Amino acid sequence: MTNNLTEFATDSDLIFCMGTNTSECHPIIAMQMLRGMKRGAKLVVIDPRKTDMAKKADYYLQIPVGYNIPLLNAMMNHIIKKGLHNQKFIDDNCVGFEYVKHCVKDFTPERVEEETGIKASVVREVAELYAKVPAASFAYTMGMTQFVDGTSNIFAISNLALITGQIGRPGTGINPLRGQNNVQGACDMGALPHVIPGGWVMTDNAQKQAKNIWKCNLNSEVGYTMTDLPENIEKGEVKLLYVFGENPVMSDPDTHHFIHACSELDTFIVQDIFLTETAQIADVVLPAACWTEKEGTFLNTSRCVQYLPKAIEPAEGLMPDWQVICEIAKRIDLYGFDFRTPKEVWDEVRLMAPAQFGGITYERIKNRELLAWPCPDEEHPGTPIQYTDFKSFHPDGKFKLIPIGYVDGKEERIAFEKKTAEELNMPEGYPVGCGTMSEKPTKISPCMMTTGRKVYHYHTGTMTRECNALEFGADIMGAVIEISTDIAERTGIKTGDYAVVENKRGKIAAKVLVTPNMVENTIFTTFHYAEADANKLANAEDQCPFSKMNPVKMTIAGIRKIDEKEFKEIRIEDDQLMHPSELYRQARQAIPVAEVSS
Amino acid sequence: MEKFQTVCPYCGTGCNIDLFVENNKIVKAEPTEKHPINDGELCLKGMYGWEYVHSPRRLTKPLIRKKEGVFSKDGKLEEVSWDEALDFAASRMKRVVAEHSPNHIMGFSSARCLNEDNYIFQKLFRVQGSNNVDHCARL
Repeated sequence: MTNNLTEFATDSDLIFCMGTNTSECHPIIAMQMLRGMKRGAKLVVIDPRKTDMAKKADYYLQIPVGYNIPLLNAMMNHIIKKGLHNQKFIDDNCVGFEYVKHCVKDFTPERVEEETGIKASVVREVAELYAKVPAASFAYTMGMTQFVDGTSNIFAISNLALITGQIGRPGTGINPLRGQNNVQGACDMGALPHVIPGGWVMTDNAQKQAKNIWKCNLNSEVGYTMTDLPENIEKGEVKLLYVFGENPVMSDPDTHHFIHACSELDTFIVQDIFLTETAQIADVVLPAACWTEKEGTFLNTSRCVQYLPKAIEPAEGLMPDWQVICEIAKRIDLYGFDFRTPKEVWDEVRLMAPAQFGGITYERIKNRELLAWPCPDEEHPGTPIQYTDFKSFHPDGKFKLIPIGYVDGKEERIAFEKKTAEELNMPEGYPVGCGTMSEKPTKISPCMMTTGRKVYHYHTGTMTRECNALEFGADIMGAVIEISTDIAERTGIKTGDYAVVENKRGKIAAKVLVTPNMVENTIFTTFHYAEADANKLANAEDQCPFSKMNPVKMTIAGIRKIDEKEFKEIRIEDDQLMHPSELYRQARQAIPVAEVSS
Repeated sequence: MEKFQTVCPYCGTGCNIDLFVENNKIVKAEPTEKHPINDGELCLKGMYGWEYVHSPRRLTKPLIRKKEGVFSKDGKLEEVSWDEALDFAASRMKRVVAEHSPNHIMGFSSARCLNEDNYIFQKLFRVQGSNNVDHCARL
């Protein structure tokens, strides 16, 4: 996040939520937003599902899955047409305004109405609201990123925030609500193929830091992404995979393909606290101490480093993950793994990235100072709001506005990008973004399908399904396939029926919940449950050209009603593939699905 | 009963939790009062999501896939000593790097684990010459 999450409560005049189911996935951030509304802030929610937050919003726009760029471009079209953009902010701080102007000119609010049924007047009202309020904050999550045009979606958000100057002040900003407890930290610690703490791997600074501190020559070529892994294994380019604290068999798209690729590895090492679906197919499994059994730090979505004490002793023999990894490194005779405490590890992070973390000491965070990076020295109070000087990280300090278009078929993207760059006479290397659909409904797979989470569980359920209060107390429905009312009418499937959802990649079976909250022709299910994991059907073939993200939020599928016998047959197949515990299945089968109302 | 102020292990909000521990077992969780992030409130997962720590299904011993006492792809996961598991993992990694290249090893790091864990994990790959480190933030 560019800003601190508490500013939703204290500073924002408009909270603009797109592709985030905030009250289920970030309940306490939703609480801060609702406090903001009590203070008088307006709430706009844009999502294919009418979520709890959508029901509380001043404006709710129900878009089809993936209809992000046409809507954002239409908002900018109206803002520019009405002269509501912040010309002074653009002149002083941005480059590329003429590119954006050119690209949004065909996206009118009327076109949105024609394509989605959302009233053009509503698009105009929310656009004017965003541009006019003193402080508008844009919040989003995976409902913006997990698409074949995920990066272009984020460019579009950034364009909108910049042309209206809604950045660098309290209550404004571009605010991804980070999913996992330490996803910000994992990125900042260099668990990405292009970056180490200290900079991108090809930069002089990163090379120098690695040489001075790690005493090694850092490879200057960007490594493989996880989305490329199955193919890289099949081509013989990856022989050993070491997975720690992740369950990619369930969380990565196209489960069958992922499992098949892993079977071709020379060695598969998994380090985890449970025998997850991934650990079950490993060659060697290393257990470790978990949360509360080890001391260390997390980095939250507002970039704040927080301290976690060790509260209990782990079972005999269990070490913290960092220590297990150091043990392996020492046995390979690698230099620089003689750490005795997590504080020593953190102090090396501070040396590697002093501009970011130099001033964040264990002493300060143990005293509960809430410090957001960058925090370069021990007197520095941290940086809760980024870009307060309206300067970007680019060498010239200017923010780049990126031209973003939208094409009907994904094969037209490259031609569009080339044409745009030529038409606008853009300098070489200046990015052009383009939206499109990764898959469109077909005769065999006539429905759109999307995925998400429920408030009761987290991710692949490895931790939450081991908590009885959540698994058996709160979550009374278990795995459910939610469908829009038009699919129900067309197929005759009713709430409580068994159904199978399938496409060329796989199938899952579960009870159905017909919901009026879903945009038409759409199926929704979660990836919490090994016995019905949406990712078995998810698209791993298409990638976002910038980030290599797979479009796991958008796939196509067919649905048909099945009887209990067929349901059980599919579940047995799934059990053989995913091995959920016997306990889960027994507790699931007898429970009817409750009716829901809008 | 001892109280520890810690940070929730679920979403990225970073809510602070007062954890109460008795006889080396967590007995309850309460929201930290007046903390700027969650201000005395917690969601369902923060309040009740700690039970997994004491689950009987937690792994406590390393495992290697074996058939008739030796490593085999067709074998079953069997309990082994820490020395055997660590030596095995280290020797296989060393061999792949030597026989193929540093680019033939890849690691998936963890957005669930500590900064310190993640830093050491990526360093293990980087010092061997591989940038093939990623994690589920990509998805």
